[in-house]
Formats: sequence, C-alpha cells, structure tokens
Amino acid sequence: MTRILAVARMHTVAWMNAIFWPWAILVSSLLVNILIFAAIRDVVPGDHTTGGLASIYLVLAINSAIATSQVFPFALGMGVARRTYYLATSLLTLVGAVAYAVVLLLLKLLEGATGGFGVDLLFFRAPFIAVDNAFLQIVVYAVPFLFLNFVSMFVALLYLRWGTNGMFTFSGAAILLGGLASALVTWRGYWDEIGNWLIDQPVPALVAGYPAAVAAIAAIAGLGVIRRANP
Amino acid sequence: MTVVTASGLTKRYSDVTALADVSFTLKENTIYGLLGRNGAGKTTLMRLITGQDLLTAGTLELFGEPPYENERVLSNVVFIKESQKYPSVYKVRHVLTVAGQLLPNWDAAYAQELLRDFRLPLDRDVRKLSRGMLSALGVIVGLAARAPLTFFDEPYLGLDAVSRQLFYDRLLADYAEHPRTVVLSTHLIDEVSDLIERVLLLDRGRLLLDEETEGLRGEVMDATGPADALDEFAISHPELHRQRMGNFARATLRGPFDQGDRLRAKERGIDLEPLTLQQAVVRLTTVGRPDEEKEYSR
Repeated sequence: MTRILAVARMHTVAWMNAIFWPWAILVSSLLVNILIFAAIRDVVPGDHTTGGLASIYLVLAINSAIATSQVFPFALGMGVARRTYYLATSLLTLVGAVAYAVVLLLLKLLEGATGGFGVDLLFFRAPFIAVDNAFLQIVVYAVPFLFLNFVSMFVALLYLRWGTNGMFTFSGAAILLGGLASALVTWRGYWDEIGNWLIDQPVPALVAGYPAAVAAIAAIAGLGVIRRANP
Repeated sequence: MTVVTASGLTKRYSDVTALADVSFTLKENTIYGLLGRNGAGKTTLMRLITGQDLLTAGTLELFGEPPYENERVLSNVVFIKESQKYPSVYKVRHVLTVAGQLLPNWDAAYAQELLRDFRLPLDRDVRKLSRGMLSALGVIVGLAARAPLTFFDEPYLGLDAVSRQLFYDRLLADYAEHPRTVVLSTHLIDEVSDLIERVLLLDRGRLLLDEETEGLRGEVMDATGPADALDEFAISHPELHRQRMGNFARATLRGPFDQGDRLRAKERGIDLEPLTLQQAVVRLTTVGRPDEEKEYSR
C-alpha cells in the first residue's frame, strides 16, 4: 500500500498540472461566461446555457496522456513494476474524479443559490448533466472524468508500446469500424429506431452508465497494454 | 552472493540481434565496467536486467528471480540512464522527493550533500537544466539510492572534468562505506580504469571478455622490435594489430604472457609494453575489421 501511495505521489508531487491548472482554467472559463452573459443579458433574457464546464474535463484528459508518457518511463527506471504503476494511477484517477465531482457539486449549489451567478447562467447546471439527487449528481460529474482519462491513458499506452504506428492503427480501425457501422445503419434505415432508443434511456444511463462501462473497458485494456510496454 | 546470473541471454529486435548467447554473473560488492562500442548491446543488457525489456531466449535471474515485473527484486535496483527523462513539470526537488519515497535505501542527507557538491539548484525546473546538470541529477539519484545493484549508463554526458572527478571520488568513497554492486557503462575507459574491479566487454552483442581488471592489464601487450624477430615471437600469441615502421614493427598481442615469453622477447630485442585498458579495449573490439582498424591506427 505504501508503494502504491508513493507511486500515486509521483503524479501529485508537482501539483500545478494536476490540481492548479484544471481549476484555474475552469474558473477563467466561468468568469468569461459571466461577463459575456452580463453584457448581453438585457438583449437575450432567460436562462443562459454554456458548455464551459467541458474545459476541466479536457485539461485533465490531456494531463492524463502527458503523465502516462512522462511519469511511467521514469517510474520504471525507479524499479516500479508496471502493475503497481497502473494500479496507483487508476486509483488516483478514481479518487480524483470523485473529489473533483464533489467540488463541482458545491459549485452547482452555489450557482443555484446565486441565481446563476446573478446572470441566470447554467454553467454547472447545463441541461443533460443536471440531476436532482446530490449523490447521482456526483456520479454524473465524476464519470466523464473517468471516461476521458482512461481512454486518454489507453491511447497514450498504445503509443508507448507500439509507437505512432500502433496509435494510428488503433485510431484508423476505430474510425473504420464506426464508419462501417453508420453506413450499415443508414443503409438499413435504422436511425429512427436508434434515436427512439436513445430518447427512452434515462439521463443517468446516458451520461453516467454507458460512459462508465466504456471507461471500465479502457481501464482493463490499458492494463493489458502496459504489462508488456517497454518504453 | 550472486546478484545477477545470466545464461544464454539473447535479445532480438525484429531484424537485429542486440545480444547473442551472453552468459555471466555479477557478484555482490563489486564495481563492474560494462564496456563496448556504440551498439554493442550494453544498454540492452542493462534494460533486460532491470526488467525494462523482455528477453528473447536464455535465462536471467536478479537476486535469484526473473526480473520482469518483479517488484520484490526490482526495488533493489536503480538504473540511471544517459537519456533519462523526468516529467516536465518536475523541479529538481520533486525528483529527489519521489526517489526518496520509491527507493528503500535512500539517504536524503547524502543527497543534499551531493546537491551542494554538484551545485545543482533545488528549485530549477528539470526541463531547464543543462545537459551536464541533468547528468549530475542522475548521478545524485544513483549514489544516494544506495541500491544493492546500481547501473550507471554513460552517466557523465555533458559533465565537466571537475564534476566527473567528483563523481568518481564520491562513488569510491561511498562504495567503501556502503559496499554494493555497481555497473558502470562508459566510453571514457581510462578515466574509470582505476575504479572498476572487473571488466565485461561486449562486442556486436557478444560477450568478448569477462575478467578482473588487474589480470587484464598484462593480458594485452604491445611488442616492438625488429620485424623478423617480431614475426617469430608473435606466432605464439593471437595478434590484434600490427604497424610497420621500416625494419621495425609493433604488434599488439593477446596473452597470457609468462616469464618464458618475457625472456624470449628480451633475447630477440623485443620490447613488451602493457596497453592501457582503453587501448586494449580498442584493439580487442576492432579485430577482423581492416577498414575500421585503419581508422583507429591513424
């Protein structure tokens, strides 16, 4: 356990990237949104929806790929086993996602209490991600972190193990499969059924359930790739 | 105690054989010099022992167990690479903090002392360190780790002469107090020839030599004398290199040379002179390649 904590510490020892920057960028995105909607409030009344929340997710996904390509090789040189590195990093990703989701929940409550920061802003309450139950809200905030971070880590590991060829083979295959699937759906005229199915799904399943399943698959696949990765 | 046992160790990358049937052991509390030309397989060998790569064939034991993904034995090893990259957000002090947490025998006070010796700024971003400072950081981590098995893969890149001497002095002093096994891979052979107790010489993926440094000193000799006499004398020893200067010639011969050999040389007016370790390595690793021999004898 101490070994796992020590390896997790490799990611947080220089905390600027893992903690300071994601939140700094989120706050700057929030401020810009508040200023813009304050300026146009008289012209465009009503609720103001924005997707600025995505910034923190993207910053952390990029961080996750960078950490994989830089911290992992360093850890190997320090005698850390691949398994240990992956376990520690995955646990940190999980704990981080929940902790960040709790902070987002608090910000959401603040946004609700202040009338959308005084400008009817729906920054933390954008449609689709806002749910009433506080526990469920934490899950809905946390899962996209897991989804993006594990997929991003998986792609970075593909690069470490098989180089650019491996990464592009995988991306190419993914694009090809997706394209073939949509061609098939278009040809058979299944789009309406798929649309109806999506509409029938409850919001938590769409924004948390299915992405969590993909995150879990990426996490397990990542373990398979890292066990023979020799950067 | 045996630290590393390798037998029939072979590593092939798609079309290159980096190591071919290499067998040797590393004993505890010894300083080894891992020598050889670029591409001889030195780094590959160290990567295999430190569990960074998988072997193609053969067996390899680190403290009695296969090293790959084996944290129990890997925690006894530290590998300082010439091209070691640190996470770009790290400062020097972050590297030391992390090393302190991951390496069981880490001596923080000693690391601080080395930091002062090498004049390394604690709060400098690692990506802003010069080549020499980066090497110094590796040296500090490698020494303060006090790992039972320490690998230095060309640790001196960009280090000035003063810092290199500092490294050799510190290594020797600390080794005397805290004996351990050190493997030093280097091209600056003369600089470390007093330091290393045993030489492992790799050439094109094969182990050419595994000998005590002391024993090796008289093992390769330059014999200089009249060309005819030299021809006669040289016949009994493998010849690595020859140069002619008029009626005189100089041949580099491989021993062993006993008292009888020395006597025969003296009778024929042949002067026997031991090569430095570096010269011996150069001669041993250029045999049979006339084009390259020319390059070296210039």
